[in-house]
Parts: sequence; structure tokens; C-alpha cells
Amino acid sequence: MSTGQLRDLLEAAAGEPPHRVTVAAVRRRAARRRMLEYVSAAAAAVLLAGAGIAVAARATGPAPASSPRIPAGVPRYYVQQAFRAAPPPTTVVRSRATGAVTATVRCPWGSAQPATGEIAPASHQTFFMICQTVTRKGAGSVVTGSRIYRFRLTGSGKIGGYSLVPGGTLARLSAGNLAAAADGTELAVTTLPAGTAPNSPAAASIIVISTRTGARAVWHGTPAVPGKMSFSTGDLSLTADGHELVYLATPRCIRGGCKPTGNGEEVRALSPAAQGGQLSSSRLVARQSALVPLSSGYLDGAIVSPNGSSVQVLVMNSPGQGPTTVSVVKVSAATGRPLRVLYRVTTGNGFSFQFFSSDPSGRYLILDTGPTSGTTNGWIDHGRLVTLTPAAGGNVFYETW
Amino acid sequence: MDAEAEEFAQFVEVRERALQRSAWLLTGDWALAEDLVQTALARSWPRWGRIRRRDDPEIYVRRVMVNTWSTWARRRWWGERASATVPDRPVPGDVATDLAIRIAVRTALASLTSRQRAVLVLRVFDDLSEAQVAQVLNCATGTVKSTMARALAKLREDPRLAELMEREAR
Repeated sequence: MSTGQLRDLLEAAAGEPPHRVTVAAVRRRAARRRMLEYVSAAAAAVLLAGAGIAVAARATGPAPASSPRIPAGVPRYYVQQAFRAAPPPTTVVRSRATGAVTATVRCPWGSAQPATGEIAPASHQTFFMICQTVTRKGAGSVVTGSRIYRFRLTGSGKIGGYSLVPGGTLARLSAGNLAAAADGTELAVTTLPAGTAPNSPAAASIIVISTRTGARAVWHGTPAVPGKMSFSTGDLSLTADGHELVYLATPRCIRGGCKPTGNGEEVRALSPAAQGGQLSSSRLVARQSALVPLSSGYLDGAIVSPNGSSVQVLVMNSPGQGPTTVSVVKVSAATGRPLRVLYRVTTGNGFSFQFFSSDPSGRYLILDTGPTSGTTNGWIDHGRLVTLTPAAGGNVFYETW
Repeated sequence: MDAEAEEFAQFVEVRERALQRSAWLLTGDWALAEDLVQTALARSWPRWGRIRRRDDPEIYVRRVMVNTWSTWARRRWWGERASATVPDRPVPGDVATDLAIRIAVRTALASLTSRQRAVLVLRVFDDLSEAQVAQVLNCATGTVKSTMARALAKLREDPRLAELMEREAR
């Protein structure tokens, strides 16, 4: 069947319309539609007013029981890296409401794989991810190159296509700790020379990349050598405009010429992030000793708020006597003092922890932690954990949204 | 009458027949086709100032038409169901042949999914390019190609349509 034959057949079948469609008829219908719209709007207003009165009347009564209603603005999809059966973990997109997998995330670069835990969200369901090539799989694998890609989710949770970020080719570098400004204009990533051994004294640097121009600024770390204060870098996060870069640091002083701070772990800030310089010039925002005793606890995550006024810190505390607690604490960026505990869970004797992440608004935090027998995967909603799929988070490596 | 209104009137005058014929292929019913075209034009009219500045206003109107039809098809207002068997048989004479073609085409089109039908009508009957069809349906050109291929494959399986083709060829 050729399309020519088919066209002839369609032509013959369609024939001639029995009536004409006139401009007058169209205008009449347009006017009727307009009137219907006005009537519908008026009816909706009346209904809303009625509902408002009903709500106001109910508000004076007893407080309602806790409602499972999901607040508006909670992301509809999350990106998850988890083991299915065996390593490496697969990266998928899941629906928050149903847990269904809506897409699989792949690296559009040869045999490269998404680096575990290195996916950073930005607004409008946009994500950045690090793709890495390795010499061999499993233990002893060596990263030979990294690239940063951007992808966006469609309204139905599918991947709307990948694009290489300008300036995102990190040749001969091993990259980790990716963070994105909420507006997606700036990225920060920790880098080491490719093939660096885990215990090497080589210092990690933080590269800040403008995703518009590909311009880079480098914050140089100091190698962990005697006499020099060095800062390990982890858990990068950027303010919404990308002006301030916050990271979780462990200051180290190896003999002479420097003094241990006594702060324990520190949350430090660099600004303007796009300027570059030395990591040692960063500003202290919060210290472990103000949140949890150095002897019994530590910090396991820090995320700066979009406006930079506070930092949400994950605090572990395993006192000698009493159960272990895991807390998400909001800390003032100005004073370093705790403002509010957003979530706390008691895990008994010891704890397990997988990851802690946030959406670009900083309002919806995902946490996977729990007792040593198994973790729970969920997001924090007004002090409670609403589970995500799978609820048992032992095989989940990382999630973000 | 201002220029905008005059241009719209001209557009309706010149294109309503073609739009109605496409609408018939989508709906399979002249009354619904007329209704669909009127609705699409009524929806386009308030935005005509913007639409007329486009390269091809008809693409926009067709898009409104196909979208409106999709909504109707989803709602199934008229509860119409495609029938696998046609009660009438063609009898000798032109009128009967025309009717047979119309019924066979309508039944064959009804066997397609909404999107397949829309792609087929826009691409084959309205002779739009793949890119234009993609624009109307708000999808990728590749989707248009694959949908078209599937629609044609399905139509090839229709024995009544094949018989008509054979008769036409003779």
C-alpha cells in the first residue's frame, strides 16, 4: 500500500462537507465560550468562598489529626542509585507517589558510568551528574577521566536528553562531591588527579564551573604534610545564586607549625565561589564541638540553605551510655549555633547511614539512616520520615530530587 | 472590520473545507467534524493576533483541532465504538461505491490509536512535512516517523482496505 494510494482513498472517503463553517458561527461560538468561562470562574469563586468559610469554621474546632497530605512543592520524582542484584548500582528515576521507575539514567559517553553519589539537583527537575571511565571494575578500579552531564526530567519523569556541561570535561581527573546552584548556572566539584591512591597526601581541589561559559575557578587544597594545616573536603553545597560554596571539612595538623583547632569537623564557606584561591582562606561557619561532643559524635553532612543564612547539618551522636541518635540540625550560618532540630531518630546501639541530600529549595531533605540492622529510606516532612521506595534503604546508595 | 478580523475571516473562508475534511477523517462523523472545526477556530480566534504573526497559522489551528479532538476522544462523550463488521455491503453504482469506501476508510481509521490516526491524517491527507506534524502534535520527528510506520502497517492488515486498493488499481 503506497501513501499515494492511501491519499487517494482518504480523499475519496472524506468527500465534501455537507455544511460550511462560517466566520459568524465561529464568532458566536467564541462569544459563548467566553461567557461560559466567566460563568465557570464566578461559580469557582463562589465555591472557593464557601470552602473558605468551611475551613475557617473548622479551624476554631479541635486540631485535626495528622494528615498524610503531601505539601505542594515536594518534588514528584527522585533520582536513585541502588543495587538491583549486584554491583555496579543502577541509576534510575522513580515517582515519589508510586515508587515506579520512570526512567533509567545512563552516561552518554562510551562505557562511562554515573559516579555513585555524584548527582546534583537544580531547579525545574534539572540534574547534573558525573560520568566516569574506569580502568577495571570492582575493587582496585582506577578512574581515568570524568565528565559532567546535565539532564532534565520531563513532566512524566522521563529523561529529556543529556548535554555535556560547558567546561565539564575533567580530563585525567577523578571527580566527586558534585554540587549545583539552584539556578543551575554554577557547579562545584572536588577533584583529584586521576589514579590517585586513597591514602595519598595529594590535596583535593574544588573546581567551580560556570555552566554558561565553561569558565572555571579552582580552590586549591593544601597537601596533608607536616607543618601545614590541611582540610579534607566533602559534602559540597552552593547557595541558590552560586555565590557561596559550603563544604564539610576535617582540619588536620600533622606536627609543628600549626595547631589543632579543637573544633572537630567544621562547616566552612568560600565566597565568592567563582573567584578561586586557597581552601585555607575559607570562613568557619559551624563546628562540631558546638553541636556534639568530639568524643562521641561527628558530622556526616552539611547543606547550605538557598539564601545562605543557615546550614542543615547531619549530626551523629554515640555516647558511651545511652542510645545513638542521628539528628538533622538547622544551624545559623552567622553564629554557628543550632536553631532547630528538623528530625531526630534514635537508632539504639550504633547506627547505619547511607546518605543525606536535599532538593534545590532546601526544604525537602532525603535521609537514609537507621539502626545497624537496617536503614530506612525517606524524606523529612515536619519532623517525620515519609518513606520512599524502597523503604528498606540498605541497598540504596544515593538519592536526590 | 480591522485587519486582524478580516484576515481571520479570510482564513476561515479559504481553509474551513480542508479543515472539515481532516476533521471528518479524525472523527468519522460530519456533525462532529463541523463541531470540531468550529471549536478549534473559536479557540484560535481570541489569539489570532499572535497566531497570524507565525509563519503558518494553519499549523497552530490544526494543533488546536487535534488537541481538542484528543480530549474529546479521551472523554468519549458520544460513546461511539468502532465496529469490526460493517452491516452494509457495497452494491453496484457510484453512490454505493463511495459509501463503501467511506465506511471502509472510517473503520480502518477507527482501528488506529488516536495518535496514529492524527499522524496519518496530517501527514498523508493534509500533506504536512514530518517536522510540521511533529510541531502540531508536540512530539519528536522520530516519533512521527515511527507512529506513521505503525499506522501504515496496521492499515495494510485491513482486508477491506486491501480489497478497495486492488479494485482501484484495476
